[in-house]
Amino acid sequence: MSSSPPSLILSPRVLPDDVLFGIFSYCNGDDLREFSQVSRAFRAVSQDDYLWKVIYWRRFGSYPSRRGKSCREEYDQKDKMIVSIADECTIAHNHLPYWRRANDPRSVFGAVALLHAVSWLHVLGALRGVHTGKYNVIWRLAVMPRAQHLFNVKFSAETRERGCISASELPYSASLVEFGSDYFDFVLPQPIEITDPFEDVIFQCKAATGEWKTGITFCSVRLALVEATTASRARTWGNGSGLSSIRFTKEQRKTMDNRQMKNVRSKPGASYRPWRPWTTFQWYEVVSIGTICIIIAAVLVQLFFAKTRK
Amino acid sequence: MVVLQSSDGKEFTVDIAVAKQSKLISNLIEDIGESDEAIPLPNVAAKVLEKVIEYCEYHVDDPAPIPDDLDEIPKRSDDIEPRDENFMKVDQELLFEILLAANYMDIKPLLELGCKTVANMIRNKTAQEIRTMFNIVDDFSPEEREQIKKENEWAEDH
Repeated sequence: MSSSPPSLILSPRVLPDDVLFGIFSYCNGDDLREFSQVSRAFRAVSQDDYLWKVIYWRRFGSYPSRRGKSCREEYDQKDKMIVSIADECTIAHNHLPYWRRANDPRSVFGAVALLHAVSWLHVLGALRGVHTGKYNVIWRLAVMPRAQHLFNVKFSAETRERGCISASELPYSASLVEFGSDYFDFVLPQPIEITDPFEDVIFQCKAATGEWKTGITFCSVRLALVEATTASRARTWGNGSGLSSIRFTKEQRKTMDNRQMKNVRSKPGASYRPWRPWTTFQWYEVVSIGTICIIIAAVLVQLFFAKTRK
Repeated sequence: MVVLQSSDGKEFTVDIAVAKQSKLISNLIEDIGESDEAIPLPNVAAKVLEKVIEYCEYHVDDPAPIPDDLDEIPKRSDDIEPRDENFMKVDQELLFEILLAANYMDIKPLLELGCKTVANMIRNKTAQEIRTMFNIVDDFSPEEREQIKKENEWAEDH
């Protein structure tokens, strides 16, 4: 080493580990992975689990929960930019009989949030510490055969600084139902762009109309870099379910829009009896019940007057 | 006033408030009391000590350094003041010398500033780029290199 030029300063001999630690703690996980290939001293420091705890805190604003995992594993888990809706999101009225937390081996988290029926539908969550870049916001959902009033449910994503950036309803297509209870990826139409490092992305799914929304299963929300949503990447992501990321092509969307919900409802082999609370009546039901009431009232009045006349 | 002596024998006379930003000196003064004798700093060269004193003089009115607690660590490294950034625009060797001096003299804000500056330099660089940048020797054994290669393959799969 003595033959090297005098600028050989950041060699392990000269810069002590705690200074390296200080430097590394301002970098992120991808950098640390790269640093661990530079030299032995770099490797030793960049694999210190306490360092991963520090960078975890800096990036996500909280400590790793340490459920039997190292901080590095927790960081890598968070770094995947995916959250479980059942466990990490806020759901309004999240209890029976409206919602249920169901175990599902097809979900990467093993658990999903199952919507039985609710009129005030609100799911809120956040992905923290997102790096700069352009991301697609992807909801993984399943629609059950009895699902109702799904198409006015608004899915949106926003960043704290610039407000709502991307919002959409589910495409009005019968094919959503055709998936049965299998999961599909619903990609918000506009990618979300992060300009500041470590920004939080807040996403929500909301429908506050009077109808009873039923039959959706919420699995996860994730961010995918726009370049990374190529077919190969999307396929490796799944958890053995065999279902790749579904993004509808133009022709598919066209055929979907042409078909109507009721055609699919009559698909054989499934029971599509819609669940409906007593509060919602059709106009003809109201009219017929009203007519019957008026006739009964008229008969009673007739009887009463017939009696008094005698 | 305190007299600080660099490794090459040069003496600097500075205000006590300025010198006390270094925990090393602050503890020393508390222990032995004020004296006219020069405090030797055998690990710090005159050129570096001059820079360190310059920094301390500028930051003498800053609030007390934040306690060594994870909750207080600033989140980002791109919040360096322009004046500090200019102060750190020195050649690599001096930059590392300042880092080492700040570490030795225990001047937390300066150490942090140095760490941020270096972090901004090495971020988003490949291992090879960092090695050439800092003249670091790749001292891995072939087995270790094999293991690193394996780890990377694993990372790409997941």
